Amino acid sequence: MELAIDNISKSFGEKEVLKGISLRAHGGKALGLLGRNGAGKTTTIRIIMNVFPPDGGRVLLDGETLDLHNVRVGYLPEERGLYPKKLISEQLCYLGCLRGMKKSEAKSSAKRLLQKLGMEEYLDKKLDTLSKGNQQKIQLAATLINDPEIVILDEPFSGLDPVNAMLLKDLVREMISKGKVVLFSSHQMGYIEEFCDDIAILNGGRIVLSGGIREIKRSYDRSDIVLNSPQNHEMEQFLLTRCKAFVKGVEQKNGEWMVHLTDAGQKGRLMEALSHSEYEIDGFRVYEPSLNDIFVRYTEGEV
Amino acid sequence: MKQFFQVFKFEYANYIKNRIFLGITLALVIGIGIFLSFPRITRFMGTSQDTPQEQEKMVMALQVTQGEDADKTLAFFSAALPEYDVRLAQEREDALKAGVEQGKYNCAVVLLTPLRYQYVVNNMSLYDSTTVRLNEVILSKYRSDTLAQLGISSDQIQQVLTAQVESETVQTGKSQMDSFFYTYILMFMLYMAIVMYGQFVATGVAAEKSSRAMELLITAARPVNLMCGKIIGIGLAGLTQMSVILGSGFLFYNLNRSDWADNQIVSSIFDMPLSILLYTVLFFLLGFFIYAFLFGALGSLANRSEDINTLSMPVLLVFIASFLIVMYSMASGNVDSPLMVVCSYIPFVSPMAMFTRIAMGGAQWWEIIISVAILVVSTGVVAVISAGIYRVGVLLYGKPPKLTEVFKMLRRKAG
Repeated sequence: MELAIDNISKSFGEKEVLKGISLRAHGGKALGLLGRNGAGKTTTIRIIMNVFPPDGGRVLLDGETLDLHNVRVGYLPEERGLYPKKLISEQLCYLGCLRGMKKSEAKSSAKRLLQKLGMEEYLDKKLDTLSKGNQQKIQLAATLINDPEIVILDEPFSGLDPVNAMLLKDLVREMISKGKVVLFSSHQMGYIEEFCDDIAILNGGRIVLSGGIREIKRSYDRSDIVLNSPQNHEMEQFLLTRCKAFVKGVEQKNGEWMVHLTDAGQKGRLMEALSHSEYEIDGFRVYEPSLNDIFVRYTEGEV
Repeated sequence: MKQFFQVFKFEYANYIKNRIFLGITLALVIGIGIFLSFPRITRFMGTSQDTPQEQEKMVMALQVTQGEDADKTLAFFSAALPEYDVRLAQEREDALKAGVEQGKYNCAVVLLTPLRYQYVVNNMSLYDSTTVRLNEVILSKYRSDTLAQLGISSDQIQQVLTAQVESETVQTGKSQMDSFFYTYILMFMLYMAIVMYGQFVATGVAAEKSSRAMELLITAARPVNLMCGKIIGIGLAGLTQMSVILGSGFLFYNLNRSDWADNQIVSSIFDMPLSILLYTVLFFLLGFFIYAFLFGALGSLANRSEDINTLSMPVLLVFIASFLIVMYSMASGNVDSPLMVVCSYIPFVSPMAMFTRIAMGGAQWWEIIISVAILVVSTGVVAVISAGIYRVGVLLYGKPPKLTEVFKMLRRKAG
């Protein structure tokens, strides 16, 4: 299964929110949709959910226009909320039925999901008697009630304690392994790195970077070396004088040396120089930017 | 369509199963039951006492003009005022007044000349009509005395003084005397029901929006289904409540029918023609829908339930104004005035105006059809516009937009 967004644009009044974005999300893989506040993530998701039509472009599933009547979609909005004064079983059933389930199906599905989330005893409680974290889990159950083939999660981890975050992680992993299309939007880069093979960074209504996380990281210039030694404080002189021929500069970061080489091919010469020196070396690795660094680099300045 | 029924079922059950809604309905039914069974209850309590006490008569002190036959006058007064215990008083004027003040007498009558008297009473009640009665008694005594002096026999005097005019009214239209009370009550019901259930729609939409349940709903169902399902669900819940209340009224009336036979107001209300009840349902539904769509659109523009008050003000003003026009026409007795005729064709006013003309006036069948047709068409137009506002409004957070901005948005969407 492949969910594709093809060159979508959308304006609200004078404001152009999406300026032609394209995305591809595959079944069995999670796609991380990143972007600063107001970058257009929610608008993109709402267009997929057909809350409003795009001004241009198409949403496709396996090459054909997405028809929400024929495919089950689950959406966890960033702004959480259900009926506070209603029984949990009642509202889960209602949402299931709205998405085309039979009442009995929705009922058993709600029970199964709450069991999985360890919340079976809350089935006949009112929503507003639950803690915020537990309400969040109910929200998740509402998203997954119809066993969706496409799952869109907007900031799913916000407000969860570590144990509940673990529970959710297991659920997400299960969905990915079942071959569902998982679209993931978050500001917490750690979670994105954990689940997503692919990312798309949205900025100013455009996709500024997309692809596999590993490839993106590998594509960076590999001329920065992270060095670690017990004699860290004595090394600056050595690096700047003895290795002057291939070292552009050094800087200390989190107690480690970051060595900028003149080009990536000089790694061997640095290693050789170090092996002939009196320094003991604990660590020597090529610096790879974290997703956080990449995100900041691509979204700084413009929104 | 399936989605619409899901929303409808959910909203209908939401009210029908709501404890407060049920409680209010039950309280009203009990209230109506107690009111209509009241004569039976009091009778039951009255017979349960062993010796029914006769109500104590009020004491009236009577001071006769000098020279008059005191006993004859006393007999005349006692016969004409059976609810009073009339006693001859010999006191002087200020002693008599003191007697009334201290409660020795309930009131006192001092005859000054055959046609002049003084009525002494301590606290004058708003509904005290004793002087009217006294006028009659004194006048009739004066006439019979005068006629007797002229030598006319007492039988003849009796005959002349008790002569009655008989009349019969032949009615070709409706009697406003009969129709006034039930129209009045039904009008009030229409007014209350349209405002109350309309506000339910507005607060329902605003609550879904402010609790952010809307985020999920709008992605799970089409907005038009969400809106129509809610409005029709609430409308039918309202109709159910009204039916229960009216039904219990008729039930309790029929159980106690014999006790109310003498009461013209109550029996005229419950003996209303069936067609009027059906018209009530028709105009409730038409009036409710046209306002409910507006209220739904307004609710979608609110961020919190508090916003609804300000947003719904213009709509409520129109509604209250039309209510006042209709009420004023009813009170003036001319419900077919040119103003009312015009009003019965104006969509937002016509549910109440046309209903009143049907119930109390001379609305022709073709007038009813035209009025209903205009109302149905304009409800359709209002529904389409409101659905457009709702679609945009439910996703709009922040300050509620001005009316002009809303229309701009709609135009842009249409164009």
